Amino acid sequence: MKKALIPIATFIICLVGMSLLTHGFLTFTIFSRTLYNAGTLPREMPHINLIDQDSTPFAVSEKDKYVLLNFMYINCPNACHIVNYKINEIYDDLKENNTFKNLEIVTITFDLKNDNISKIKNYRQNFSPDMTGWTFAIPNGYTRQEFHKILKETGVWAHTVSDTKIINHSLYLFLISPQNQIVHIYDPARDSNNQIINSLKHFTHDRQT
Amino acid sequence: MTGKLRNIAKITAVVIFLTQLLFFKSLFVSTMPLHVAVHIPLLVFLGLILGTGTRINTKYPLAILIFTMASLMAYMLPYLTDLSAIILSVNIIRQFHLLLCGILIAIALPQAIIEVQIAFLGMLTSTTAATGIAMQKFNILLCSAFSIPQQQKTGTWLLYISGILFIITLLNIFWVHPRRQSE
Repeated sequence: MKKALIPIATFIICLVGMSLLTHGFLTFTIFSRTLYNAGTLPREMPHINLIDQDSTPFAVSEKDKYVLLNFMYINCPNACHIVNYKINEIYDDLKENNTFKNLEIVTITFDLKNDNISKIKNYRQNFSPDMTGWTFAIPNGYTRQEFHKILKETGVWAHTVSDTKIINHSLYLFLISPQNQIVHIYDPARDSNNQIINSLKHFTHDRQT
Repeated sequence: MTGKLRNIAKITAVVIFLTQLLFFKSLFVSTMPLHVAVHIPLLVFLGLILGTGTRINTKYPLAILIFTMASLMAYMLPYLTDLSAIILSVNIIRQFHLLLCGILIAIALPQAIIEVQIAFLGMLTSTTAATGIAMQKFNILLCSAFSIPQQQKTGTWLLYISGILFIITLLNIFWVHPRRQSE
């Protein structure tokens, strides 16, 4: 009996250890773990001072509408641009359906060193001709450490690879309510355009009614 | 293996371990294939050399093998792969832990019954293959310290390693085990 007990106990300890390591077999990557550690939904969106492409300071919390928030940087080799073009498709679809009374898209850059207002203004021109509902912004007055702290609180992991200077980061899209609460998180790698569009319509429709 | 040869192999293993400990920051963290598909097997292999011929009798080889299996699976997780590439202290703990895993396998595996040996090696093979396939097929970045092409290359290398492990499993069943029984 004792001979069987020790292996069984070892198995249970290992299983518990693995479960603790992965938050109950839910988080296997550093991206999902950072998101998990940020807390359950709905939760408050940390305050970020921003400057938009027209040099106007603003904060997401000041918008009296839903905000679909994503993070990117212009020198990204591909992932950020793929996500932004996906958002562009969503934006065009929602614009046709007049959803932008209650919704705004805000894209924030990570790269405090290389990206600036003129660069994001030029980059923004790659998308829809009418961009009234989609703002590009840079963080205003933060050090790298301070901004990374905000990112972690939001649930975003960003790591700069030392050799290539590529910033590998989470690609999640955060839906923030007018009460400054993160109410939904979309994964552009998994969620289809239709899923995101229907969900956004659902949230903004609730606000209209 | 004779005692003298074994001692030379063990000294060489210690020297290799200490040397790689000095250079791992630049070498084994530079790319994902090196960090996962070369560094992990290397450390376990060095541990196997150090543990071979150790006259430690254990009553619980199965418990030891469960622990080593869980440890190896944990270090295959993208989260720990990432963390060990980013944080130096995690990397050092990982290296000693994997070395210990090799030593424990060398001690416990020969003392386990053949069914347990097959289960252990079979599970190690299938876990490595599954991780390899996942890394090769995923178009989503799993580790922030590396890139998708590196991730896919790691997947391919892990599949090769699982092939080697499969051959080791077969050798163990059809050659090592019958030889040990006849002795």
